Amino acid sequence: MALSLHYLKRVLYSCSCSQPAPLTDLYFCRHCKVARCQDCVSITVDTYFCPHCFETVPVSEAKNRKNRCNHCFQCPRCSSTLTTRSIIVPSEVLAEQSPKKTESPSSKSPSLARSPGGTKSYYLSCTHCKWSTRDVGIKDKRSPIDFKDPLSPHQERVSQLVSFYKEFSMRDQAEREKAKKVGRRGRSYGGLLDTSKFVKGASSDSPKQLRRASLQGTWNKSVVNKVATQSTDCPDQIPDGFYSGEPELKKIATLQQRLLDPAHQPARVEQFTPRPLHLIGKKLLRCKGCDHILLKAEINPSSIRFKIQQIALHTFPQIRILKPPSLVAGAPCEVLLSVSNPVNHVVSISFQQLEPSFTKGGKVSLAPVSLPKGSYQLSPNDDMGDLLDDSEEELEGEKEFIHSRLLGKLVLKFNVAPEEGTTGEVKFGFVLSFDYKSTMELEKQESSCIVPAPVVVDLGKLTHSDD
Amino acid sequence: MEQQDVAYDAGEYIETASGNKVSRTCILCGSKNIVLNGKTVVQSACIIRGDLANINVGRQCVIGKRTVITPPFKKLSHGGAFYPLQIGDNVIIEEDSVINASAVGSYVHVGKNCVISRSCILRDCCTVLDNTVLPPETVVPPFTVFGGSPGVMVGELSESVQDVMIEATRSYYQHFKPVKKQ
Ligand SMILES: [Zn+2]
Ligand SMILES: [Zn+2]
Ligand SMILES: [Zn+2]
Ligand SMILES: [Zn+2]
Repeated sequence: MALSLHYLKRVLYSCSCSQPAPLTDLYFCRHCKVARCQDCVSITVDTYFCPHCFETVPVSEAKNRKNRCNHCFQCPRCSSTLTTRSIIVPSEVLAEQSPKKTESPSSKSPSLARSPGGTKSYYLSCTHCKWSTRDVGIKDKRSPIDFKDPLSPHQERVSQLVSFYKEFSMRDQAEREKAKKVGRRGRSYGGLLDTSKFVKGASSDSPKQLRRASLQGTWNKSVVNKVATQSTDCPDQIPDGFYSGEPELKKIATLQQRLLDPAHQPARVEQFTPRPLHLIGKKLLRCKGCDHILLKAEINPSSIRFKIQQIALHTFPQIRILKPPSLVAGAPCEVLLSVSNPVNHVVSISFQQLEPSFTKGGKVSLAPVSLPKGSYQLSPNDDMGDLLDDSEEELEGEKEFIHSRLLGKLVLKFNVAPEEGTTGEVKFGFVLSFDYKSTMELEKQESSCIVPAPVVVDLGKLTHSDD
Repeated sequence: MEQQDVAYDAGEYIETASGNKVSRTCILCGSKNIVLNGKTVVQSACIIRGDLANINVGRQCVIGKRTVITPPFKKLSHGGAFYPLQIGDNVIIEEDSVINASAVGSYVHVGKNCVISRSCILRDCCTVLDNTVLPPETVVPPFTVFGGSPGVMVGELSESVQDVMIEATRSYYQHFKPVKKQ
């Protein structure tokens, strides 16, 4: 199916950092009046939620849960989501004994646990590869929320180190206060990394501090020794036949399966455990230039609405190739581009050649182009199409370059001359300038300014002369 | 690129009062249980199993050639039952896909040759890449991209996907034009 959707990357707009991106991936800051790409915004997580059960987890709590859902699990073999299965165990039979009755898919409410003739017990099973918790000898549980991620074998060591560094930072802080040294105060990404304990000092000089402290002898050696790594003379023994034995490929975990569980890294399939599902986040985007919020989603994880949504698609006139042009090297070719108005008032646009410096560092070579001269007005993009006919004459624009006018849309003629010997895609660029009318509520009167947007259009390969 | 004209044989398609265009080569089982809410294009050789349960397709959807849409089956303690399937607005389902989901939200794009297995839930604004097999009971959250076999999350969508899907489905419908055959 040839969908317009598949060609979004043919027209790339330049972000204020001169990185090209499709218009749909850009944001627009109303305060800086420039486009911002993914790299020009600072991203923080507003809330976390489970991608399977949609339970929301506040940022503060997500860290305690290791950014994973408590109830949903991933298959350790194929990494799809596991489903909870229940079986009814007759009351006279112990829960450990083999199941007798029918299974029913994912009945998660524990209120159903007691049904006539027995109690329910639960196990997890993969709907894709049919792996189940019974395969690895995990006993069925009385409640679907009883499945827990086993503790990491390094838990003790990690908590030792954490408490050591806590103590260290306290000493460090006390020392700093003594020296009355006021450190830089960076912006706190509180939810992302708990910097509160280290906020007084920039992280770059902490090792220096450590060295100085130990040199001065203020740091008690015995405290350090308690957590220092101990060297050992006998490394872990490799099991017999590791090199000589026949490998059981069906029993050995793949690298991807091992890394799904970084704490245990099961080497064999018998060691697999259900993996708690990763939480995903609702993003909050801020402009790196002025710190204003560009994007804030509603808290509800299944909602697709936004409280603040400043995307470039709602501000920038969108340029599309009307139809694939016929391109012949060395000859001027007419290229029709449509410019759509995203807003419901008249927008003036004009075209300028790109600065020669635009392509200097880049690998793209752009074909020379003659642009439509003068300025053009785009009719408002609203549903009242009847108004179009009356106002058409009043709209500005050189007739010579206009191919056609549609509701909220203008099709313009460009003349591109692909150079001889072009092998790859023919590309050309220009600067699209449009007048942006600010409609911010704080500024009562409407202010307007010209926003330039460098655009590069990819026309595809040269047409062969014989067709 | 603007949506290019898609020509179809005027004799092949039936256009309903609400603007739906349905190919005569489609197999619509139990057509009284199938509701197309308007401006929806159902292309050649699709199979829609309305005989099993109600199927409700929203406005301005595009359903590609040879796609099969079946309501989800749920196993119960005594036998099982088919449940109604709701598909949202501005949904694109490309060619040769099999849809057996519990629910498909709005502004969803399912690629070519996909299998959306039993009781999957596709929420609003999500994309399933070409040749994906979603295992049964998979949930696809908003603004995510699923791909591979088994289908897992492989990426995120930009926040403008709603506008993009509305534009894509609207322009497809506008450029889906009849040609008279002599
Ligand atoms: Zn940028
Ligand atoms: Zn969950
Ligand atoms: Zn699996
Ligand atoms: Zn800004």
